[in-house]
Amino acid sequence: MTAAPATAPKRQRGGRPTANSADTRTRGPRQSVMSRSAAMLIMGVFTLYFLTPIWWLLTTSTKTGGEITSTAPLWFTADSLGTFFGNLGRLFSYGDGLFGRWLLNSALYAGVGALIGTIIAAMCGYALAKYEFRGREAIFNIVLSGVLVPATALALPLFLIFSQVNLTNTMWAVFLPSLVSPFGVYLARIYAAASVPGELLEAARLDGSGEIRTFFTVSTRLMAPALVTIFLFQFVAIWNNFFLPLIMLRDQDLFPVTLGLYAWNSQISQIPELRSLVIVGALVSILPLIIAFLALQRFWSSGLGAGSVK
Amino acid sequence: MRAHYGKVTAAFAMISALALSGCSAGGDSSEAGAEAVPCEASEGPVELTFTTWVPGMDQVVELWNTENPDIQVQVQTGPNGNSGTYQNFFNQIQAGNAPDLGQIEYDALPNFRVQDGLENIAECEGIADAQDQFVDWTWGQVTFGEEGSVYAIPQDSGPMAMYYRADLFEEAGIEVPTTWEEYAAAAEQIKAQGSYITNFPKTDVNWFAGMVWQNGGQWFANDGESWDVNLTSPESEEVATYWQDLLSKDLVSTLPSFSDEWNASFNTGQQWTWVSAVWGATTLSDGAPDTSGKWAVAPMPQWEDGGEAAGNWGGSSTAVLKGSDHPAEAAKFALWLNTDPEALALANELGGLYPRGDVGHRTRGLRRRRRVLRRAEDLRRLRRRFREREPRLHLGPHDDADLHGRLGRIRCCHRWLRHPDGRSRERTAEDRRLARIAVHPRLRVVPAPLPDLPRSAASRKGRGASRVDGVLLQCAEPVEARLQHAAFPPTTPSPCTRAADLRQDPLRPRPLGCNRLAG
Repeated sequence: MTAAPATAPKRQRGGRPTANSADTRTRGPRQSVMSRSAAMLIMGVFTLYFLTPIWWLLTTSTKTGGEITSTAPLWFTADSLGTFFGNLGRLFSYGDGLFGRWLLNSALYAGVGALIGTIIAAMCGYALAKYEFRGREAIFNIVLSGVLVPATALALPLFLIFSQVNLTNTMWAVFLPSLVSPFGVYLARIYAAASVPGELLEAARLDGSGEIRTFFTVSTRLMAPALVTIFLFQFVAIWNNFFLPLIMLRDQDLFPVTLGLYAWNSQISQIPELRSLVIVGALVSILPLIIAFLALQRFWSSGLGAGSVK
Repeated sequence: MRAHYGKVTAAFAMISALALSGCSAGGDSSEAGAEAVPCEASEGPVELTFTTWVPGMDQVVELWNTENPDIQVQVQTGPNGNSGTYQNFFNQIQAGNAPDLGQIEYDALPNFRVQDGLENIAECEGIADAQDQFVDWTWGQVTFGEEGSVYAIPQDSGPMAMYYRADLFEEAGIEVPTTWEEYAAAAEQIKAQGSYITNFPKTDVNWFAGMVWQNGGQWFANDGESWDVNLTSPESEEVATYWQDLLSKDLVSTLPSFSDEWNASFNTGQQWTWVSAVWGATTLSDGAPDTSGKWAVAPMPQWEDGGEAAGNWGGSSTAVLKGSDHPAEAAKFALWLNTDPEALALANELGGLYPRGDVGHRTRGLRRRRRVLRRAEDLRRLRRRFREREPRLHLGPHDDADLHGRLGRIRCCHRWLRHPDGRSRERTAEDRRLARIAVHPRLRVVPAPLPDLPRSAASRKGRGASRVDGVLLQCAEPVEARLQHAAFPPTTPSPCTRAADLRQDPLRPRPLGCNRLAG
């Protein structure tokens, strides 16, 4: 997220004369100490602003229910580590290991959903970019307008439709709607148009490769950074999706982790001991997102830079 | 935020769908409303679904399932009612696939009734006879005072009492208040010590309702044909004035309820009392662990010296939702769930439910709560009193947003009741606000005649002088309107004709709908 590529090449491209190029290498052109420290200060403040809640989550998850209110909110207690593992143990054992089940559900909805969703979006965007056919623009515009419709607004119509075919309260009810990603199609089309040369496809055709084979062996490789980005977006969107499962699901065993934690949270007034479980659960539930980001970061950040320099 | 969006969209969909179904169904539905549908048992084994969020309910149901192989109940859990489950119920009723049974809190039950989301189970076996097993007022909540109607079985209740820090009161040499007057006096003494007597919960409408309840106020009444809405009766105003006074003098804090900050204020001795429901002890024991053993419990402070009134905060019922294929079996299960001693004991232990039936009052339990309390016998004594307490406030149909918004206004209006005149006869703005309640196609707002009130020049001047005052003044207007509900068919002559009798004997339980005439 934070890995900004070196900016030196860009500046040179900017056409600025190389008179002070030595200066450029060391600390950038005409950057006064003042403006630099101001920038650092602003960045520092914002970093603090964004990281404080996560820090709070981390410290608070090492406390028992009572300690949450009676100890310093942003620092650990004497017995932090023991309490943390105690909380973790209770989290996974509460309600016959319900939380583990929710994590698995989320992983299934988000992992498989994002994977299939990415493939569909990639194929769709690729077709729109690389094939000439009637109604191409019309289809693209319709898909694009789908970006504008908030998923929340679609949840209730979807519920009524799924009720008709008796699919509510099943995994399919959450899984199927998450396969479509208009934004993914848009991104795939733009990227395919820019990064998959038509000449390469012609060459592949001349060599006797079928369209499907070309797509999977040649084009997807070229589109890889875009695909990773789409996957990541989809993964995060499905993982954080809350309203659709809330409407569709009644059976606790089918809940994703977001809805499960929400359900627990709404029961705190009845069972206050859930408070610490909700907090530890929230911490655990963001770990997969962090892992996904860190693991895939080099793919998509390199993808963002690709094409900027010729 | 998301949930809010959902609510809005869902509400829109529901309203439009109801409007459509209202056109097609026409007269049939209104006829069906009066007489209970014959309730016949289904043949063969039956499977029921029951949506609840009460912890441990699955284990209670397990008990039933082992005893009743022919009627198997499957428990489904979700977030608590207002956090999404009610909205889901409405969606599911709309789509025709609602669960057979649902957990519904008393304040939400009338909404289900006016939107025709409940099965009338009065004709089902054993239901009518079960009335004796419940405290009268809880039964009133599930019948809405309609003849031959039972829409749910009462489950738990939240009788209120005052939790207080016995140690702090002793140390400071302050008498534990028994009346609201003493309470206000104690508040000043405690403020002098640098603490607050309590926290005023700005967002808990039902807490405020409990206060009005104790004072004998009545917000909603139903005479079988229409609903009376009256949020500014003298009883309600007395309560509002009282708290307004404490707020204006900064004698109570206004922390967001159930937040960490709020918990901490209990834990550090910043709050000396909490007038709360019976379930409040669990909240204290977990939120304020350092104070364990220092709390005691006493009856709510009284408006009259020597009074014995208490309010109620919370509680829910088990309702048979519209469209259930097996209402007879569902009713049987609901009745068992809320009258069987074993089931009640289990629900009390696992879910912390304070039972609403008479049967429930005899069960053991409440053990978990005692550890925070210094004197457990207080709670036992209180329990007895709760049972005998006379029922008062009934909850009615309301547009949630509107009711909450209006109460929000009452609470925000710091100067509202201190207006020189306090009342005004102008009610156009109020009418408009009431019209918003009537967005439901089956509800109609008919303004009720207002009491003849003095209208001084000062009040009009106040209105004109400041826009803020104009708004404030509206708060103090009597909010009275009759929400006529087309789906309620005409029944026998209104019981309110006996209003004269009621006046003579104020202690006699009032039939629903007679408050305005009798009061």
